[in-house]
Amino acid sequence: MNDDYLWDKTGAPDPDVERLERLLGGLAHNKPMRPAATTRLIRPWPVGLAAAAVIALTAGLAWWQESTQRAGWDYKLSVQGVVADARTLRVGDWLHTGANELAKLEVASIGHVDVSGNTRLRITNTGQREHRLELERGKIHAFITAPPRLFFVNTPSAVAADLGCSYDLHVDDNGDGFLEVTLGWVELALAGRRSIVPSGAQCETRKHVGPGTPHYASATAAFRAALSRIDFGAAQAGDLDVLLRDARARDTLTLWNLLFRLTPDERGRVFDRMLDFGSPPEGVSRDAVRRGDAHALDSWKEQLNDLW
Amino acid sequence: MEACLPMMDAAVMAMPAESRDGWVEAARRGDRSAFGQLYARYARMVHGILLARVPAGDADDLVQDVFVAALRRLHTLRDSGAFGSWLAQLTRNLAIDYHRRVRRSEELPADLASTDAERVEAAEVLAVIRSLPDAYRETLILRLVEGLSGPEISARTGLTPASVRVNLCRGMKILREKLGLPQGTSGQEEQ
Repeated sequence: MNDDYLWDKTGAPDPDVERLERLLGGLAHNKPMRPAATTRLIRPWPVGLAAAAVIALTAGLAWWQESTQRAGWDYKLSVQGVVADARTLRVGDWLHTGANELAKLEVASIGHVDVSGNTRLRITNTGQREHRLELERGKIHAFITAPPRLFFVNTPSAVAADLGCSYDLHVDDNGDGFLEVTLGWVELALAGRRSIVPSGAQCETRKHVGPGTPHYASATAAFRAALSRIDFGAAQAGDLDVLLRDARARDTLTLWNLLFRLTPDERGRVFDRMLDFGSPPEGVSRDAVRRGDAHALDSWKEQLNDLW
Repeated sequence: MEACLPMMDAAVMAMPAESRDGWVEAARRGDRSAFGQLYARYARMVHGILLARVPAGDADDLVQDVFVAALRRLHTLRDSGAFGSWLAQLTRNLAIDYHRRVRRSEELPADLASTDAERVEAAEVLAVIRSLPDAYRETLILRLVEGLSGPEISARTGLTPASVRVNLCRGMKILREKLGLPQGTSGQEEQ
């Protein structure tokens, strides 16, 4: 079997390609052209009609804004496996699950959030431009199928922005957090610190500090311990050496993100080590990396994505 | 490795250029049926490009908007033979405008799948494809969602057959990795 089936549907069918075709085929375009829509868009509206539409739109917007403030999400609470009737969590109301309780929140029409026991959260906003939760403590699993930056979770140690589309987020009693992404990307940010965490990676967050550096659980224990010290102000001499020594190709995720938090000389050392995993693209020089040239770093990231 | 070596294919010529050029010229003169022919020929390409960039629930409506915009701007197209690539770029531009204009929630079509599990899996796979670089995600969506063959993608978008074939192979290779599928021979790249 070669790639003929993928290319022009000839030859022996590739089972994986066939399965993806069946799975995704329901999304294919199958709508005829709408003449009415064409006519409506081509002909300009009469001035009076347009003015009436503006008035109606303004009134509708005011109603929508008011109704959004009262809006909420449906959820089901289960106690020791017994599922209760659906309820609605209104914007501003707290949901506090007990030790033996789980809740499943339907996030408007864009996904759901599974809430573990001993968790306290509330909706702070829900509308067309954003849906936002405040997670005070506890653990959630979010599964979101929406464009990037439509679903956010505020925690005491970072704001998590969904870039699509599945992750676990835990906040302990001190307000520190831990993120593990299972699909897509999540951005963590607080007070000028920012980390973008891809599928399979994880990241710690600290109250009053913000997110640490994304890394993989499969990195060595020494690597993860040294990274945590560097991230949260307890760096010891030799910690960067440990990272450079233990880094695998996949850990270029961590090294690349660290470039934004190191001195120029340290960035130069990281650059030298990353050369072991492949040549950077044209324009990404040691000098550019030492300077922290944003364009060069972005360009390098595009190439490194294949390793992560 | 032969698998992904770029090569020309006679099927690229599946749509006679004279027909396409004739439809473009006729549509330019106001012939709605000719424009309907162009819609029938290019709607899946437009939908696929949109699906790589906007919520699935909005892609259908935006297809209509793209063709309305194309009808309005058809007089600016100098080379009828470049209609496909011109329409593809117009579609990408309107997708950017969409994101500037509004961010809306994504809903999967009600008829997408018969079970929740399939619906969720389709959404997951689509999300993974969308996370790929532009060239790969667009080509893979046209192939796996819209059902166009590589030669058809090339003929409609104006990309060379070699580019489409490489994008399909590399994109599928990365997609397999991200979905945890074993690498088939169709995922092998040119050496």
